[in-house]
Order: sequence, then structure tokens, then C-alpha cells
Amino acid sequence: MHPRRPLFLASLLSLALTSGCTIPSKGDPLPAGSSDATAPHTSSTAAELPYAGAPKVSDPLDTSTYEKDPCKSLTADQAEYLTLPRTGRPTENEVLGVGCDWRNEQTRGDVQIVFLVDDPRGLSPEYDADKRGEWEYFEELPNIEGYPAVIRLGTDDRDIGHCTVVVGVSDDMAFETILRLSKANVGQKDPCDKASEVAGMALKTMKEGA
Amino acid sequence: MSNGQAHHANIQTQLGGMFTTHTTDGTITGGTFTYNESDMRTIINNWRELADSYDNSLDRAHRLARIEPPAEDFASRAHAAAANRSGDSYKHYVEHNRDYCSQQADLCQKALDHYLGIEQNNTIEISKTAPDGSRPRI
Repeated sequence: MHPRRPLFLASLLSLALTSGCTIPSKGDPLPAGSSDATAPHTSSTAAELPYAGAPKVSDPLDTSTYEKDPCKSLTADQAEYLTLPRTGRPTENEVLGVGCDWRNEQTRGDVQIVFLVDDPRGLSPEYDADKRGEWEYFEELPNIEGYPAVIRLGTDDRDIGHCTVVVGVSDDMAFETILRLSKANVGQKDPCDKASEVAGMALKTMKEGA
Repeated sequence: MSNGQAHHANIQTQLGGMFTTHTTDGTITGGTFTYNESDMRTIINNWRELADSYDNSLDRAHRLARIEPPAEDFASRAHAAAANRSGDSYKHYVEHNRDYCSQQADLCQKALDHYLGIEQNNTIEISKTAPDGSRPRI
């Protein structure tokens, strides 16, 4: 029986550890890969944003109106200027946020704006994911309309006219501008330049409506 | 008959005049489908819609990279690692399907262009040389 005792103790220890995981406790999880790995994982992240090298947003923008209705992020005139339908359609089954889609069925040009309302950590997770090597392409952009922004691509599809720009409007809120060039512009225009331009237009709208 | 000719004849047999005759919708001849121009445009559009749908899924899947393990304990890290592997597989699957749908759309477009005697790709390329102001903004 003695040789089995260590196994029995290990089982007990394992059970204790496992059952410990099932006890719910209050607190927000901290990202494992964040630069502040020694911080207690049960503390609020609100006081710790930004992290992972993400820039602090010095002049936060109140985007609550646009989080409720992302289709207001671009005015009808702005959308028309971009050769898109004047009104966007709310996206369905969005992940971590709410979004709106402006899509030109003829040119196949497409813009989506998505507010990451279900992950209120601003740009920090984008920088953190970059440190973990999650992105095929990551580039810090000059501020757009005074707000920090990055290009981040899980799959680098710039050659087929796709790009995503993420703008931090506060330390705990960011929105994505996902752009697909029309067929006629693939290889002719830089999708990331256009995505930055569209993000800037949306920011202008949001500033005026704030 | 050379190998190339035999191959070509075989394709023609398989396609059964798919792109060479106008027929009524839904006509089936010798076990093959025949389509008119309108059908082909619908099929092309459906492939493109499907590709776009996969593209949207891919954008959302990339967003999941923001999610991280809740703690540094073994169970959390192991679960996160397993979830990440699963997520990577899912992304590859979605990306593969998107590319497949795009390729199918392109193939159907080329077939239709061939039937209509239009070189769609040339049309697109010519449009790319047009002055910037005459092209879509995005």
C-alpha cells in the first residue's frame, strides 16, 4: 500500500487545486502576457491601463453615442464621398463589440467600424498581442485626429486590399476600422492609408457629436 | 488526337455545353448542369458573398487574440494554450475557405467572360489605369 501513498497525496493535492479553480471570486482577469506580470490578478484593470506599451490617451473622447449606434460614425455625406452607400447596416454576430458595415455591392469596396465595447481595455490588448507575436503585421501609426492608432493584421492581406486600423479613443475604449478596397483599387491604393483616412473621418464625426 | 485535345474534349463533355448554349433555367443535359448568363452572375455573386462572409469571420477571429488567460496558474495557461491552438485551426480553416470561394468566383467569372467574349480582368486592369478621380475612393 505504501507505494500508492504519494499517488494518493498527489490526487488530493490535484483535487484541492482543481476545486480551488471552481470557487468564484470577484475581480477582473489580467492578461498573462502583460508587461506587469507581477501585479495581482484580482485587482481592477481600470487603474492599470494602459499597459504593454500602449500610449496613454491624453484627451479621452466620449463615444458612448456611437457605441450604441455605430452607423452614426460616418455621416451620409462622408459615406457617399467614399463611394459607399449613404447608410450603413449594423453587423450581426459581432465579437467583443458592436459594428456597422458600409458596403458597395458594385465596386465591392467595404468599410466596417466596430467598437470593442465588450473588451474595455482600449489599445492595450493590441500591443500585448503584438508582444506575444499574434499579429502577422503590426505598425504604430502617427496619431489620427489626436488619438493613438495602430495597424494590426492577423493575416497580412494588404496585397488583396484589406487593412484594419485600431484607434484608441480612451484608455479603455478602441474602435476598429476594417477596410476592403474595391476591385479597381486593389494594387493601386494602399488599403491602410485609406483605412486611416476613414478612421480620421469617423473621429471628426465623433468629435463633433461628443 | 493529342493529349491536349483529348483533355479539352473531356472538359467539354463534362461541362456539357455549360457556357456555349443559352438554355432555360434549370435544364439538365446528360447529367450536367447548364446555366444562362443570369444564372452565372448569380453564382459568381454567391461565391463572392460567401468569400466576404468568411472574411468577416476572419476579422472576428483575429479579434479573439485580445483574449488572454485569466491567471498564471497551470490550468489557466494550459486552457489558454489549447484554446489558442483551436483558434489558430479555426482561422486557417476560415482563411482557406475564403480563398477557395474567391477562387471559385474568379473561375466562374473567367468562364462567363469567355462565353461573353469579354476579358473581365482586362476591363479591371484598364479601369486601374484610369485617372484617380474616376475610380472609387476606396
